[in-house]
Amino acid sequence: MSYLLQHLLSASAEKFPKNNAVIFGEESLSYHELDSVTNKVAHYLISVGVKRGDRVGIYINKSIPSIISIYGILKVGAVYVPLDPQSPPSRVSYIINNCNIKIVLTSSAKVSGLLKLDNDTKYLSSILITDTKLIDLEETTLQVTPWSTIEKSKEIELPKMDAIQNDLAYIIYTSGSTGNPKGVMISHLNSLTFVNWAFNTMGFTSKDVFSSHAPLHFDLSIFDIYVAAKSGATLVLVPETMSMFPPRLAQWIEKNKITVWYSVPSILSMMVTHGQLEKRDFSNLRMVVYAGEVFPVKYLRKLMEVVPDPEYYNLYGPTETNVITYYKTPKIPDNQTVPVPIGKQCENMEVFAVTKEGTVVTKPGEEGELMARGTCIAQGYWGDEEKTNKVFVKNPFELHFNDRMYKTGDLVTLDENGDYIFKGRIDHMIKSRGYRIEIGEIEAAIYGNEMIKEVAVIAIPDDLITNRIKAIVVLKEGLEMDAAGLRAYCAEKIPKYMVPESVEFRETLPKTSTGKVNKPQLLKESLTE
Amino acid sequence: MEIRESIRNYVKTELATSKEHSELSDSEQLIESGVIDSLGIMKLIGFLEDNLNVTIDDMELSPENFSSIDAITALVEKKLA
Repeated sequence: MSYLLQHLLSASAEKFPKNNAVIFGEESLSYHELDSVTNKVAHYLISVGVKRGDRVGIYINKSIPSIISIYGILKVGAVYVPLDPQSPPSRVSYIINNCNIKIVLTSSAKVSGLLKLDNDTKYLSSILITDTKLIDLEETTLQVTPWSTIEKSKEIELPKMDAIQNDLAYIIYTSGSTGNPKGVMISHLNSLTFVNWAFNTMGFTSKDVFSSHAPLHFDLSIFDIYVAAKSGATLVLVPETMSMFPPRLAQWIEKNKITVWYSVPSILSMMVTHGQLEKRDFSNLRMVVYAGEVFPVKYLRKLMEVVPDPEYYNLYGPTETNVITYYKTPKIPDNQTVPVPIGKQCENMEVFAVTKEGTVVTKPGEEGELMARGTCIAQGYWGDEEKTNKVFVKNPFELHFNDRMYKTGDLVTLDENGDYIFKGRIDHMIKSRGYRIEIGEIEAAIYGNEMIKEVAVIAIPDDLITNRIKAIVVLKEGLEMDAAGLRAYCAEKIPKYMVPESVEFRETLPKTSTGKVNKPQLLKESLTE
Repeated sequence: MEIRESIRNYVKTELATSKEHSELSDSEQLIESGVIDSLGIMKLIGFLEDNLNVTIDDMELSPENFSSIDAITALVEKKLA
């Protein structure tokens, strides 16, 4: 019975031992190899004191070692926490402290960045380097273990442990409105509810070749990694810089004979506009799956025209729910300008929308906040009961039940076919390139600079990447700063995808009659510039 | 020299975000170090096309052409020649 995520790997290692489990560039591991090496990692983690439920960090650019790390950690019954290697050190330290990470798995390329955090991290005591490249290490009080320790290990059997499906599998940190990221706690059951649904509904086999585009700290990665593992299929990791060069990415899909592609729409849009798709042979590609943001319909239509054979799926769901609705996308009429729906609820998940008046949306025209129920719903935010209780609430229509539903904060309506259509947000969260961004987190970061008197951050709608971020800043009297200086300051506090792309300095900010910053006016002025 | 200067200036003020980056040399690897990312490259192309009067063909979108300030300058100069 596969009730833990790592069971998917073990089962496929039995059934398809020689199939390639993961490929990255010239390197690859079969299911048997991946299963054995991750058993060794698990034994190592036990030997340094990792126990069921402990949080273990992964600070590695996407690569075969990052996949090994995931399963090694899960096999101890521990919880993996992806740390974005591109994130500023202060944010990484925050996460390490926030969920008490004692051990981090990293790479030779990233270890020095991690050692620099030593003074800011209270609990961190041990590091495992997951590749064999030799490096000179600066002096450190942390215990650093080289990969050769794992290679020499004879412990190839799966260690015994008692985890159950309700235990946490991973924590994914996402933007928080008050300035710090919040950790979404996902149990094995939460994740498997989605993985099993995708496997059963969309249909995959051991012959499939999945692309893996999203970084580990982005929950799109869950689909590629675990649905591929359940299928006994091959996972091919997309080199990170490849996405910058759409023609190369298109060639890469062809060359690797990818059968299942999954990414945010902006990557696909860039391939439509710059990828020279008509020159490529996509005869292996049988499924294109997109999620994370609205796919501009003109690019989606064009993509489906140039690459007509695959099935297209829109998946929808915040990190807190995995995926809760889907829409198998039919050919898009030429005159359609509205985005495609997010669709209907996935099997074994319940979604409904509640209007401002507290009634359930049942017909087109009515608008409400989307709510979700089911075993896919996360366990809340790590160490933050207040934020958890705000959005993980009892179902107002079934108060005698004890289960909690998640308030997505997304406004939706229904179309004539009963499909949900995404309309916007009830709060200040925005999307850019599929990333969730709380405007408040950017403003909090900028307010951290003592030269700043006032700041307003606005999101300017954009065709390709959903939103561009702009900061309008008032400096304290007599002080000077330029846009590059402010952006550099931001980059020390928040990930690059949250750093304002443009900065405008003003003497004052426009206010509404109640004294609030008039953001609608600022947006209007920015749009007419 | 003017072309190089303006590319350097754009990369340093609009794409680089950290203090180390503002001191980067013309041969420094922009992609590996993260100075140029997927959003950055589109901004940079927009800048080159609007300000330096070149059109970047899709097939020129390669890591080789955008690896450093030197490489970008060479690409633009070749196109203008």
